[in-house]
Amino acid sequence: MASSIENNNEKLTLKSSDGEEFLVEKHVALQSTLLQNMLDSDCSSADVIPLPKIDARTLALVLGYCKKHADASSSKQGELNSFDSEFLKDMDMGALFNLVLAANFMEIKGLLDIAAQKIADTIKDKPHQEVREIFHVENDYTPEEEAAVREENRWAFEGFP
Amino acid sequence: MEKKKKKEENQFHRLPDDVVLHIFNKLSDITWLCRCFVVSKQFSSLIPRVQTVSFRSKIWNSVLNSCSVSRKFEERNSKRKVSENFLKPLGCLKNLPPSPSSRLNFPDFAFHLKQIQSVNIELPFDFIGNNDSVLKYWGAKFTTKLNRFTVLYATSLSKMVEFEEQEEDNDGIKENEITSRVNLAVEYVRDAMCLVVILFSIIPKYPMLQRISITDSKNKRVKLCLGGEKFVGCRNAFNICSMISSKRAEGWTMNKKGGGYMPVLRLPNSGHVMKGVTTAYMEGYSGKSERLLKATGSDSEAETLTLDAFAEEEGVFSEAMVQIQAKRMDVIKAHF
Repeated sequence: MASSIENNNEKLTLKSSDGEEFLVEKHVALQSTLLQNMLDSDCSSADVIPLPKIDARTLALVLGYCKKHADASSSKQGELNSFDSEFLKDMDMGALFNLVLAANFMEIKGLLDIAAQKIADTIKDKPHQEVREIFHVENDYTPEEEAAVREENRWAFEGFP
Repeated sequence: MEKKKKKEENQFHRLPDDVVLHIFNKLSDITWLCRCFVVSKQFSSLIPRVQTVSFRSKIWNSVLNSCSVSRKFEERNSKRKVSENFLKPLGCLKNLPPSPSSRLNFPDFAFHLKQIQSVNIELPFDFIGNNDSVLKYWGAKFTTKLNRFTVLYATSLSKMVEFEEQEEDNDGIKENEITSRVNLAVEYVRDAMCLVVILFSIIPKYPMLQRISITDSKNKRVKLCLGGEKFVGCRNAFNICSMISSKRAEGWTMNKKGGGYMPVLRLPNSGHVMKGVTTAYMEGYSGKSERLLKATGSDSEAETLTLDAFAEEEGVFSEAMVQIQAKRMDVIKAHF
Protein backbone atom coordinates (compact mmCIF):
# COMPACT_ATOMS: atom_id res chain seq x y z
CA MET A 1 0.00 0.00 0.00
CA ALA A 2 0.92 3.55 -0.46
CA SER A 3 1.76 4.62 3.03
CA SER A 4 3.64 7.86 3.21
CA ILE A 5 7.16 8.14 4.48
CA GLU A 6 7.75 6.77 7.97
CA ASN A 7 6.54 9.38 10.37
CA ASN A 8 5.71 9.09 14.03
CA ASN A 9 2.53 11.03 13.68
CA GLU A 10 1.26 8.61 11.08
CA LYS A 11 1.10 5.67 13.47
CA LEU A 12 -0.48 4.91 16.75
CA THR A 13 -0.42 2.00 19.13
CA LEU A 14 -3.50 0.14 20.32
CA LYS A 15 -3.42 -2.24 23.22
CA SER A 16 -5.83 -5.14 23.49
CA SER A 17 -7.46 -6.35 26.71
CA ASP A 18 -4.94 -9.19 26.92
CA GLY A 19 -2.03 -6.84 26.62
CA GLU A 20 -0.99 -7.22 23.01
CA GLU A 21 0.06 -4.05 21.21
CA PHE A 22 -0.81 -3.20 17.64
CA LEU A 23 0.93 -0.52 15.62
CA VAL A 24 -1.61 1.05 13.32
CA GLU A 25 -1.35 3.60 10.60
CA LYS A 26 -3.37 6.66 11.33
CA HIS A 27 -5.51 6.54 8.22
CA VAL A 28 -6.47 2.98 9.12
CA ALA A 29 -7.37 3.96 12.66
CA LEU A 30 -9.61 6.71 11.30
CA GLN A 31 -12.09 4.08 10.18
CA SER A 32 -13.08 4.03 13.82
CA THR A 33 -15.12 7.02 14.90
CA LEU A 34 -14.01 6.44 18.47
CA LEU A 35 -10.32 6.70 17.56
CA GLN A 36 -11.01 9.59 15.23
CA ASN A 37 -12.63 11.54 18.05
CA MET A 38 -9.72 10.71 20.33
CA LEU A 39 -7.24 11.94 17.75
CA ASP A 40 -9.29 15.06 17.05
CA SER A 41 -9.46 15.90 20.71
CA ASP A 42 -5.71 15.55 20.65
CA CYS A 43 -5.16 12.62 22.93
CA SER A 44 -1.55 12.45 21.98
CA SER A 45 -0.99 9.80 19.37
CA ALA A 46 2.36 8.95 20.87
CA ASP A 47 0.59 7.25 23.74
CA VAL A 48 -0.64 3.73 23.73
CA ILE A 49 -4.42 3.62 23.47
CA PRO A 50 -5.83 0.84 25.62
CA LEU A 51 -8.92 -0.99 24.41
CA PRO A 52 -9.83 -2.92 27.54
CA LYS A 53 -12.91 -4.57 26.06
CA ILE A 54 -11.30 -6.07 22.98
CA ASP A 55 -9.05 -9.12 22.96
CA ALA A 56 -6.08 -9.49 20.62
CA ARG A 57 -7.74 -11.94 18.27
CA THR A 58 -10.73 -9.68 17.73
CA LEU A 59 -8.65 -6.56 17.46
CA ALA A 60 -6.52 -8.17 14.77
CA LEU A 61 -9.67 -8.93 12.79
CA VAL A 62 -11.04 -5.43 13.28
CA LEU A 63 -7.79 -3.86 12.14
CA GLY A 64 -7.71 -6.15 9.12
CA TYR A 65 -11.13 -4.86 8.15
CA CYS A 66 -10.14 -1.25 8.75
CA LYS A 67 -6.97 -1.58 6.72
CA LYS A 68 -8.78 -3.05 3.76
CA HIS A 69 -11.40 -0.33 3.82
CA ALA A 70 -8.94 2.48 4.40
CA ASP A 71 -6.66 1.40 1.57
CA ALA A 72 -9.25 0.56 -1.05
CA SER A 73 -10.35 3.42 -3.21
CA SER A 74 -14.06 4.04 -3.24
CA SER A 75 -14.24 2.99 -6.86
CA LYS A 76 -13.62 -0.58 -5.88
CA GLN A 77 -16.91 -1.10 -4.11
CA GLY A 78 -17.41 -4.50 -5.68
CA GLU A 79 -14.07 -5.71 -4.41
CA LEU A 80 -14.85 -4.43 -0.94
CA ASN A 81 -18.19 -6.20 -0.93
CA SER A 82 -16.62 -9.52 -1.75
CA PHE A 83 -13.95 -8.87 0.87
CA ASP A 84 -16.70 -8.21 3.42
CA SER A 85 -18.56 -11.42 2.74
CA GLU A 86 -15.35 -13.43 2.70
CA PHE A 87 -14.27 -11.74 5.89
CA LEU A 88 -17.16 -13.10 7.94
CA LYS A 89 -17.47 -16.42 6.21
CA ASP A 90 -17.14 -19.46 8.46
CA MET A 91 -16.59 -17.29 11.49
CA ASP A 92 -17.87 -18.94 14.66
CA MET A 93 -20.58 -17.21 16.64
CA GLY A 94 -18.32 -16.35 19.55
CA ALA A 95 -15.92 -14.53 17.28
CA LEU A 96 -18.74 -12.85 15.39
CA PHE A 97 -20.29 -11.49 18.57
CA ASN A 98 -16.87 -10.32 19.76
CA LEU A 99 -16.58 -8.49 16.48
CA VAL A 100 -19.99 -6.86 16.86
CA LEU A 101 -19.06 -5.71 20.35
CA ALA A 102 -15.75 -4.34 19.16
CA ALA A 103 -17.30 -2.59 16.15
CA ASN A 104 -19.93 -1.09 18.40
CA PHE A 105 -17.38 0.06 20.94
CA MET A 106 -14.96 1.45 18.37
CA GLU A 107 -17.83 2.88 16.33
CA ILE A 108 -17.00 1.30 13.01
CA LYS A 109 -20.34 1.49 11.32
CA GLY A 110 -19.61 -0.56 8.23
CA LEU A 111 -18.27 -3.45 10.25
CA LEU A 112 -21.14 -3.28 12.71
CA ASP A 113 -23.59 -3.39 9.83
CA ILE A 114 -22.14 -6.39 8.07
CA ALA A 115 -21.67 -8.33 11.29
CA ALA A 116 -25.21 -7.56 12.46
CA GLN A 117 -26.50 -8.56 9.04
CA LYS A 118 -24.60 -11.80 9.28
CA ILE A 119 -26.21 -12.60 12.64
CA ALA A 120 -29.64 -11.65 11.28
CA ASP A 121 -29.11 -13.94 8.31
CA THR A 122 -28.21 -16.73 10.69
CA ILE A 123 -31.48 -16.28 12.55
CA LYS A 124 -33.47 -16.31 9.35
CA ASP A 125 -34.78 -19.60 8.04
CA LYS A 126 -34.19 -21.45 11.30
CA PRO A 127 -36.70 -22.83 13.77
CA HIS A 128 -36.62 -20.99 17.07
CA GLN A 129 -35.28 -24.08 18.87
CA GLU A 130 -32.28 -23.97 16.61
CA VAL A 131 -31.84 -20.24 17.11
CA ARG A 132 -31.66 -20.94 20.84
CA GLU A 133 -29.03 -23.60 20.33
CA ILE A 134 -26.84 -21.60 18.02
CA PHE A 135 -26.71 -18.56 20.26
CA HIS A 136 -26.96 -20.43 23.58
CA VAL A 137 -30.14 -18.62 24.47
CA GLU A 138 -31.90 -20.33 27.34
CA ASN A 139 -35.63 -20.65 27.00
CA ASP A 140 -36.97 -18.58 29.87
CA TYR A 141 -40.62 -19.14 29.03
CA THR A 142 -42.73 -21.64 30.89
CA PRO A 143 -44.36 -24.10 28.48
CA GLU A 144 -47.67 -22.29 28.96
CA GLU A 145 -46.15 -18.89 28.22
CA GLU A 146 -44.40 -20.22 25.16
CA ALA A 147 -47.61 -21.70 23.85
CA ALA A 148 -49.38 -18.38 24.39
CA VAL A 149 -46.72 -16.35 22.59
CA ARG A 150 -46.76 -18.82 19.76
CA GLU A 151 -50.51 -18.62 19.53
CA GLU A 152 -50.33 -14.82 19.36
CA ASN A 153 -48.05 -15.10 16.36
CA ARG A 154 -49.68 -18.13 14.88
CA TRP A 155 -49.78 -16.77 11.33
CA ALA A 156 -45.97 -16.61 11.32
CA PHE A 157 -45.70 -20.31 12.01
CA GLU A 158 -48.01 -21.47 9.27
CA GLY A 159 -46.30 -24.15 7.28
CA PHE A 160 -43.51 -24.23 9.79
CA PRO A 161 -42.68 -26.91 12.37
CA MET B 1 -8.91 -24.66 17.97
CA GLU B 2 -9.53 -25.21 21.64
CA LYS B 3 -12.91 -26.68 22.47
CA LYS B 4 -14.83 -24.24 24.53
CA LYS B 5 -15.92 -23.99 28.09
CA LYS B 6 -18.68 -25.19 30.37
CA LYS B 7 -22.19 -23.89 30.02
CA GLU B 8 -21.80 -21.47 27.17
CA GLU B 9 -22.85 -17.92 27.52
CA ASN B 10 -25.97 -16.55 25.87
CA GLN B 11 -24.42 -14.54 23.07
CA PHE B 12 -27.23 -12.00 23.05
CA HIS B 13 -26.74 -11.22 26.72
CA ARG B 14 -23.29 -9.95 25.86
CA LEU B 15 -24.63 -7.22 23.62
CA PRO B 16 -26.18 -3.94 24.69
CA ASP B 17 -29.86 -3.66 23.84
CA ASP B 18 -29.38 -1.20 21.03
CA VAL B 19 -27.00 -3.57 19.27
CA VAL B 20 -29.45 -6.45 19.55
CA LEU B 21 -32.06 -4.11 18.15
CA HIS B 22 -29.74 -3.25 15.31
CA ILE B 23 -29.61 -6.95 14.48
CA PHE B 24 -33.39 -7.22 14.56
CA ASN B 25 -33.67 -4.24 12.27
CA LYS B 26 -31.41 -6.06 9.85
CA LEU B 27 -33.56 -9.14 10.20
CA SER B 28 -36.39 -6.97 9.01
CA ASP B 29 -38.59 -9.73 7.66
CA ILE B 30 -41.83 -9.65 9.60
CA THR B 31 -42.37 -13.40 9.57
CA TRP B 32 -39.01 -14.04 11.17
CA LEU B 33 -39.41 -11.25 13.63
CA CYS B 34 -42.70 -12.66 14.81
CA ARG B 35 -41.27 -16.14 15.08
CA CYS B 36 -38.47 -14.72 17.19
CA PHE B 37 -40.94 -13.66 19.84
CA VAL B 38 -40.94 -17.30 20.87
CA VAL B 39 -37.18 -17.55 21.33
CA SER B 40 -36.84 -15.83 24.69
CA LYS B 41 -38.14 -13.03 26.84
CA GLN B 42 -35.22 -10.84 25.89
CA PHE B 43 -36.16 -11.24 22.25
CA SER B 44 -39.82 -10.54 22.82
CA SER B 45 -39.07 -7.45 24.87
CA LEU B 46 -36.82 -5.95 22.19
CA ILE B 47 -38.62 -6.87 18.99
CA PRO B 48 -41.47 -4.42 19.59
CA ARG B 49 -38.89 -1.64 19.28
CA VAL B 50 -37.89 -2.59 15.76
CA GLN B 51 -38.22 0.27 13.29
CA THR B 52 -37.62 -1.28 9.91
CA VAL B 53 -39.77 -4.06 8.64
CA SER B 54 -40.34 -5.82 5.40
CA PHE B 55 -43.30 -7.92 4.41
CA ARG B 56 -42.69 -10.69 1.96
CA SER B 57 -45.05 -11.88 -0.63
CA LYS B 58 -45.97 -15.07 1.14
CA ILE B 59 -48.15 -13.50 3.77
CA TRP B 60 -49.66 -11.16 1.27
CA ASN B 61 -51.02 -14.03 -0.70
CA SER B 62 -53.42 -14.53 2.14
CA VAL B 63 -54.15 -10.83 2.23
CA LEU B 64 -54.92 -10.72 -1.45
CA ASN B 65 -57.00 -13.84 -1.11
CA SER B 66 -58.89 -12.30 1.71
CA CYS B 67 -59.61 -9.40 -0.65
CA SER B 68 -61.18 -11.71 -3.12
CA VAL B 69 -63.12 -13.65 -0.54
CA SER B 70 -64.52 -10.47 0.73
CA ARG B 71 -65.26 -9.31 -2.78
CA LYS B 72 -67.34 -12.34 -3.44
CA PHE B 73 -69.12 -11.86 -0.19
CA GLU B 74 -69.77 -8.32 -1.17
CA GLU B 75 -71.21 -9.30 -4.52
CA ARG B 76 -73.48 -11.88 -3.01
CA ASN B 77 -74.80 -9.45 -0.53
CA SER B 78 -75.48 -6.56 -2.76
CA LYS B 79 -76.76 -7.84 -6.04
CA ARG B 80 -78.15 -4.48 -6.86
CA LYS B 81 -74.73 -2.86 -6.83
CA VAL B 82 -73.33 -5.11 -9.49
CA SER B 83 -74.35 -4.79 -13.10
CA GLU B 84 -75.59 -1.98 -15.24
CA ASN B 85 -72.70 0.41 -14.70
CA PHE B 86 -70.21 -1.94 -16.20
CA LEU B 87 -69.28 -2.44 -19.78
CA LYS B 88 -67.11 -5.05 -21.37
CA PRO B 89 -64.21 -5.40 -20.98
CA LEU B 90 -64.33 -3.07 -18.07
CA GLY B 91 -66.94 -5.28 -16.51
CA CYS B 92 -64.34 -7.12 -14.53
CA LEU B 93 -63.82 -3.98 -12.50
CA LYS B 94 -66.75 -5.03 -10.45
CA ASN B 95 -64.32 -7.43 -8.84
CA LEU B 96 -62.37 -4.58 -7.37
CA PRO B 97 -61.82 -4.70 -3.70
CA PRO B 98 -63.78 -2.07 -1.91
CA SER B 99 -61.77 1.11 -2.02
CA PRO B 100 -60.30 2.75 1.03
CA SER B 101 -63.17 2.51 3.45
CA SER B 102 -62.68 -1.15 3.79
CA ARG B 103 -63.72 -3.47 6.51
CA LEU B 104 -61.40 -6.19 5.33
CA ASN B 105 -59.96 -8.11 8.16
CA PHE B 106 -56.29 -8.06 7.56
CA PRO B 107 -54.28 -10.50 9.55
CA ASP B 108 -53.22 -8.30 12.35
CA PHE B 109 -49.57 -9.04 11.98
CA ALA B 110 -47.20 -7.37 14.18
CA PHE B 111 -49.82 -5.54 16.11
CA HIS B 112 -47.15 -5.22 18.77
CA LEU B 113 -44.69 -3.50 16.48
CA LYS B 114 -45.92 0.00 17.12
CA GLN B 115 -42.57 1.66 16.53
CA ILE B 116 -42.19 0.77 12.90
CA GLN B 117 -40.94 3.73 10.90
CA SER B 118 -40.20 2.13 7.61
CA VAL B 119 -41.99 -0.65 5.81
CA ASN B 120 -41.15 -2.42 2.63
CA ILE B 121 -43.70 -4.75 1.13
CA GLU B 122 -43.05 -7.24 -1.60
CA LEU B 123 -46.15 -8.37 -3.38
CA PRO B 124 -46.57 -11.39 -5.58
CA PHE B 125 -48.10 -9.39 -8.41
CA ASP B 126 -48.09 -10.87 -11.79
CA PHE B 127 -48.66 -7.62 -13.55
CA ILE B 128 -46.98 -8.17 -16.81
CA GLY B 129 -47.44 -11.85 -17.28
CA ASN B 130 -47.19 -13.13 -20.80
CA ASN B 131 -47.84 -9.79 -22.41
CA ASP B 132 -44.45 -8.27 -21.96
CA SER B 133 -43.78 -8.43 -25.65
CA VAL B 134 -46.34 -5.68 -26.01
CA LEU B 135 -45.70 -3.77 -22.93
CA LYS B 136 -42.44 -2.24 -21.95
CA TYR B 137 -43.30 0.59 -19.68
CA TRP B 138 -46.28 1.62 -17.74
CA GLY B 139 -47.34 3.81 -14.90
CA ALA B 140 -50.52 4.63 -13.10
CA LYS B 141 -51.78 7.42 -10.98
CA PHE B 142 -54.28 6.99 -8.27
CA THR B 143 -56.11 9.59 -6.27
CA THR B 144 -57.74 8.63 -3.02
CA LYS B 145 -60.27 11.31 -3.36
CA LEU B 146 -61.48 10.88 -6.88
CA ASN B 147 -60.38 7.35 -7.50
CA ARG B 148 -59.00 8.34 -10.79
CA PHE B 149 -56.56 6.01 -12.42
CA THR B 150 -54.43 6.84 -15.35
CA VAL B 151 -52.50 4.08 -16.97
CA LEU B 152 -49.92 4.72 -19.61
CA TYR B 153 -47.86 2.21 -21.44
CA ALA B 154 -45.51 2.28 -24.32
CA THR B 155 -43.89 -0.26 -26.56
CA SER B 156 -40.59 1.50 -26.35
CA LEU B 157 -38.87 4.34 -24.67
CA SER B 158 -35.67 5.70 -26.07
CA LYS B 159 -33.42 8.69 -25.95
CA MET B 160 -34.43 11.32 -28.42
CA VAL B 161 -32.24 11.46 -31.50
CA GLU B 162 -31.50 14.93 -32.90
CA PHE B 163 -32.96 14.71 -36.38
CA GLU B 164 -35.43 11.94 -36.41
CA GLU B 165 -37.91 12.42 -39.20
CA GLN B 166 -39.96 9.42 -40.06
CA GLU B 167 -43.30 9.40 -38.32
CA GLU B 168 -43.58 5.69 -38.76
CA ASP B 169 -46.75 3.64 -38.95
CA ASN B 170 -49.47 6.07 -38.18
CA ASP B 171 -51.98 3.55 -37.08
CA GLY B 172 -49.76 0.57 -36.58
CA ILE B 173 -51.76 -1.03 -33.88
CA LYS B 174 -54.31 -3.72 -34.30
CA GLU B 175 -57.75 -3.68 -32.84
CA ASN B 176 -57.17 -6.86 -30.83
CA GLU B 177 -54.01 -5.45 -29.35
CA ILE B 178 -55.92 -2.44 -28.17
CA THR B 179 -58.39 -4.73 -26.50
CA SER B 180 -55.64 -6.60 -24.78
CA ARG B 181 -54.10 -3.37 -23.62
CA VAL B 182 -57.36 -2.16 -22.24
CA ASN B 183 -57.72 -5.41 -20.39
CA LEU B 184 -54.27 -4.93 -18.98
CA ALA B 185 -55.18 -1.45 -17.86
CA VAL B 186 -58.12 -2.88 -16.03
CA GLU B 187 -55.89 -5.36 -14.29
CA TYR B 188 -53.52 -2.63 -13.25
CA VAL B 189 -56.36 -0.68 -11.82
CA ARG B 190 -57.48 -3.68 -9.86
CA ASP B 191 -54.02 -4.26 -8.49
CA ALA B 192 -53.60 -0.60 -7.75
CA MET B 193 -56.82 -0.77 -5.77
CA CYS B 194 -55.36 -3.65 -3.80
CA LEU B 195 -52.35 -1.50 -3.03
CA VAL B 196 -54.55 1.23 -1.74
CA VAL B 197 -56.45 -1.18 0.46
CA ILE B 198 -53.13 -2.37 1.81
CA LEU B 199 -51.91 1.16 2.46
CA PHE B 200 -55.15 1.97 4.14
CA SER B 201 -54.85 -0.99 6.42
CA ILE B 202 -51.25 -0.32 7.37
CA ILE B 203 -50.82 3.41 7.63
CA PRO B 204 -53.37 4.09 10.36
CA LYS B 205 -52.07 1.18 12.42
CA TYR B 206 -48.52 2.37 12.82
CA PRO B 207 -48.38 5.87 14.22
CA MET B 208 -44.61 6.15 13.86
CA LEU B 209 -44.53 5.09 10.23
CA GLN B 210 -42.77 7.56 7.97
CA ARG B 211 -42.03 5.61 4.87
CA ILE B 212 -43.61 2.82 2.98
CA SER B 213 -42.61 1.16 -0.21
CA ILE B 214 -44.29 -1.56 -2.15
CA THR B 215 -42.46 -3.54 -4.75
CA ASP B 216 -43.35 -6.36 -7.00
CA SER B 217 -41.38 -9.41 -6.02
CA LYS B 218 -41.63 -10.94 -9.48
CA ASN B 219 -40.21 -8.39 -11.81
CA LYS B 220 -39.45 -5.32 -9.77
CA ARG B 221 -41.37 -3.12 -12.13
CA VAL B 222 -44.09 -2.01 -9.84
CA LYS B 223 -43.01 0.39 -7.28
CA LEU B 224 -44.87 2.59 -4.93
CA CYS B 225 -42.84 4.74 -2.65
CA LEU B 226 -44.22 7.06 -0.07
CA GLY B 227 -42.11 9.12 2.22
CA GLY B 228 -41.79 12.64 3.53
CA GLU B 229 -44.52 15.05 2.52
CA LYS B 230 -46.26 12.60 0.28
CA PHE B 231 -46.57 10.22 3.15
CA VAL B 232 -48.03 12.86 5.42
CA GLY B 233 -50.55 13.79 2.75
CA CYS B 234 -51.52 10.21 2.39
CA ARG B 235 -51.94 9.72 6.11
CA ASN B 236 -54.14 12.79 6.28
CA ALA B 237 -56.28 11.57 3.43
CA PHE B 238 -56.73 8.23 5.08
CA ASN B 239 -57.51 9.80 8.41
CA ILE B 240 -60.30 11.79 6.85
CA CYS B 241 -61.57 8.72 5.06
CA SER B 242 -61.59 6.64 8.19
CA MET B 243 -63.29 9.35 10.20
CA ILE B 244 -66.23 9.41 7.90
CA SER B 245 -66.19 5.89 6.63
CA SER B 246 -69.24 3.84 7.14
CA LYS B 247 -69.04 0.38 8.59
CA ARG B 248 -70.06 -1.20 5.35
CA ALA B 249 -67.56 -1.89 2.66
CA GLU B 250 -68.48 -0.18 -0.54
CA GLY B 251 -68.03 -1.23 -4.07
CA TRP B 252 -66.30 1.02 -6.50
CA THR B 253 -68.41 2.39 -9.29
CA MET B 254 -66.89 3.70 -12.42
CA ASN B 255 -68.53 6.65 -14.04
CA LYS B 256 -65.97 7.86 -16.56
CA LYS B 257 -63.45 6.20 -18.75
CA GLY B 258 -61.40 6.97 -21.77
CA GLY B 259 -58.09 6.68 -23.40
CA GLY B 260 -56.31 6.56 -26.66
CA TYR B 261 -53.34 5.68 -28.72
CA MET B 262 -50.40 7.61 -30.06
CA PRO B 263 -47.83 6.05 -32.34
CA VAL B 264 -45.10 8.46 -31.28
CA LEU B 265 -44.86 10.78 -28.34
CA ARG B 266 -41.96 13.20 -28.14
CA LEU B 267 -40.84 14.44 -24.78
CA PRO B 268 -38.44 17.33 -25.31
CA ASN B 269 -37.98 18.13 -21.62
CA SER B 270 -36.57 14.79 -20.69
CA GLY B 271 -35.23 14.10 -24.16
CA HIS B 272 -37.08 10.89 -24.77
CA VAL B 273 -39.27 9.40 -27.44
CA MET B 274 -42.03 6.99 -26.60
CA LYS B 275 -43.50 4.75 -29.19
CA GLY B 276 -46.72 2.84 -29.34
CA VAL B 277 -48.17 4.75 -26.46
CA THR B 278 -51.55 3.77 -25.10
CA THR B 279 -53.30 5.58 -22.33
CA ALA B 280 -56.35 4.70 -20.38
CA TYR B 281 -58.07 6.47 -17.58
CA MET B 282 -60.92 5.51 -15.36
CA GLU B 283 -62.69 7.53 -12.81
CA GLY B 284 -65.17 6.41 -10.26
CA TYR B 285 -66.45 6.84 -6.81
CA SER B 286 -66.94 4.49 -3.97
CA GLY B 287 -70.27 5.59 -2.72
CA LYS B 288 -71.06 7.32 0.47
CA SER B 289 -67.66 7.98 1.91
CA GLU B 290 -66.47 9.63 -1.29
CA ARG B 291 -69.38 11.98 -1.34
CA LEU B 292 -68.86 12.77 2.29
CA LEU B 293 -65.20 13.32 1.65
CA LYS B 294 -66.03 15.75 -1.08
CA ALA B 295 -68.37 17.53 1.29
CA THR B 296 -65.58 18.09 3.80
CA GLY B 297 -63.91 20.05 1.03
CA SER B 298 -60.45 18.71 1.56
CA ASP B 299 -58.95 19.48 -1.75
CA SER B 300 -55.29 18.96 -1.81
CA GLU B 301 -52.93 17.54 -4.36
CA ALA B 302 -51.17 15.78 -1.52
CA GLU B 303 -53.89 13.20 -1.60
CA THR B 304 -52.64 11.77 -4.82
CA LEU B 305 -50.88 8.47 -4.76
CA THR B 306 -48.69 7.66 -7.66
CA LEU B 307 -48.07 4.14 -8.66
CA ASP B 308 -45.32 4.10 -11.11
CA ALA B 309 -43.36 1.50 -12.91
CA PHE B 310 -41.07 4.11 -14.38
CA ALA B 311 -39.25 4.12 -11.11
CA GLU B 312 -36.09 5.53 -12.63
CA GLU B 313 -37.82 7.57 -15.28
CA GLU B 314 -40.33 9.33 -13.15
CA GLY B 315 -39.84 12.61 -14.95
CA VAL B 316 -40.47 10.95 -18.28
CA PHE B 317 -43.71 9.52 -17.07
CA SER B 318 -45.04 12.81 -15.74
CA GLU B 319 -43.99 14.67 -18.86
CA ALA B 320 -45.80 12.13 -20.99
CA MET B 321 -48.90 12.49 -18.89
CA VAL B 322 -48.87 16.25 -19.20
CA GLN B 323 -48.43 16.08 -22.97
CA ILE B 324 -51.17 13.57 -23.35
CA GLN B 325 -53.54 15.64 -21.32
CA ALA B 326 -52.75 18.63 -23.44
CA LYS B 327 -53.20 16.79 -26.71
CA ARG B 328 -56.10 14.65 -25.82
CA MET B 329 -58.54 16.61 -27.96
CA ASP B 330 -56.83 16.29 -31.28
CA VAL B 331 -54.19 13.68 -31.57
CA ILE B 332 -55.46 10.79 -29.59
CA LYS B 333 -58.15 8.66 -31.01
CA ALA B 334 -60.46 7.26 -28.41
CA HIS B 335 -60.65 3.53 -28.49
CA PHE B 336 -62.80 2.90 -25.51
